[in-house]
Amino acid sequence: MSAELPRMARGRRNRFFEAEGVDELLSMVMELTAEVATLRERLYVTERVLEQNGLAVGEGIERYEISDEDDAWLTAERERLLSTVLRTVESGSRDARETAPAGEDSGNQGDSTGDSKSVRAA
Amino acid sequence: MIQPQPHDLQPAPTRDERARQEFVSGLRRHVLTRLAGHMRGEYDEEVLPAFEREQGRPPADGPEVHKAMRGTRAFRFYSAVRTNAQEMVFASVIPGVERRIAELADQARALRDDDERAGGSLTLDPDLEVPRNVTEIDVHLAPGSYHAEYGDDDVAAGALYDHSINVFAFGQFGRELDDIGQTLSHYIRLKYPEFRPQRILDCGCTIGHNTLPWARTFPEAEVHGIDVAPGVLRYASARAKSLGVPVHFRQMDATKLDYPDASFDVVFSSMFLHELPLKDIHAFFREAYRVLKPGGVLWNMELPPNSRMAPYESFYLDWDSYYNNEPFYKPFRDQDYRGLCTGAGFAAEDFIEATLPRYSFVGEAAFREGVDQPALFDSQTGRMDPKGTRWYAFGAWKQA
Repeated sequence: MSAELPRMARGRRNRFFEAEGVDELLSMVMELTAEVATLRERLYVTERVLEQNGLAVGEGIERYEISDEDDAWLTAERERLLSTVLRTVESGSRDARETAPAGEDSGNQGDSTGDSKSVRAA
Repeated sequence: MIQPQPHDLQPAPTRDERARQEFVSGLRRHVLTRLAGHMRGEYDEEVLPAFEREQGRPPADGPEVHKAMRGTRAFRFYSAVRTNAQEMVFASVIPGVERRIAELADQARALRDDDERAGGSLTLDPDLEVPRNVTEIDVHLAPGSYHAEYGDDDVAAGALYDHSINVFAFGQFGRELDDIGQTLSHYIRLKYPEFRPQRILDCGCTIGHNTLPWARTFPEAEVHGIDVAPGVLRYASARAKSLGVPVHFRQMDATKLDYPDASFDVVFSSMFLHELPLKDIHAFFREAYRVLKPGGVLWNMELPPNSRMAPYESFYLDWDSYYNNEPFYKPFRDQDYRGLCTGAGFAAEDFIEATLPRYSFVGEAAFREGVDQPALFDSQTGRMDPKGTRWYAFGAWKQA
């Protein structure tokens, strides 16, 4: 015997927020949180298993000195993550250019905000 | 931590599935403690004062509180996160059930056919029409509800119920998910020590988790458990065999019991009445009265009636009726429970009710002290709360 069990209950799903999409967004956030929790548990267990096999990685992880090369990789990775998550709020119009990092050239950011307003008004 | 169930049909989750189940179980606990507390705070600090200013009085009942709370931030997030948690409970265990669906069916069959194990029996009725209140709704958002079947001897619905309730309950139902059965059976044993039931019936028994405690509390009794859905009963029978407790499981509709008059000393139900339309509740009470022997007792665990709850508590417990695919809940809880009993033939003076601490958590000595206390209706009554849930039960003795 094999079967594909239904994943969702039948019937209309509850809606608790008036704005379109917010209920769905909340569900996505909860699922993502579950994924994060699962990853963290797996990582934790990975460290324990390595310890059991003679590799005291927990301590090693705490003591690890981030090299310049590590820093460059990690910084780029953080930027990629932030840009990916904020993509829809960072790009205000089709010809929006990459904005400078926050804190630099704030005059340009003010201009680009003004540009996107005038695009919408048009 | 989610305790694995001590029977042979327990799930075998992968590491990641187990982590996800732990997360969801913790989320359930978080919603019912922190988010619920936050919502109560918003009611006390903002909604209630505003209502009193506007109306010159506090809310009169649950529906007035519901209406006042519905647009508030705390209510929206409590409700949305709680709904998601409920959906995630099932989503977290379905892959494991699906993966082992054939193996579970084989394992359950082998257990049921094992004559070396404890007695009991399973009698299914393929001609029984599963009622629409079961087939038409995925009750408490369980995909497939109680009745879905996926092949011969399938037990998927039972496995889904068992595995999911383990996640759902964040430990509050006890080690074998049977605290309700333990609490209600031990109450009868301690409150009425002369009463020696010989035949006990659990109606709407699902996987028998609250049926087995009756057999353990009254080992000389013959215990029966009935339900309309075949898959959960196959699972129940195998589970009971695995745990060494003899129970006779039968596929039957509690509104049309296939038992003779005056054939049971106890008719019991747990979290069952609220899943029935009102006309079926009345029919069940009449059947319970019919099959009870004179001197027998009807004893139901349920959420307390709205008439005994303060408006906020009434609103809080009504939530499942509106948002958890349990549409019969509020119509049931709006009833006069004594009236349900007298309407079926029980005498008004023979009505009994109690609010009880959880037997398997507080132990015999502390429980014994609570047995003679009057029923207490407050914010802990009927709520699943690690600070101290109190189960509510009601019913009636049939005059001898």
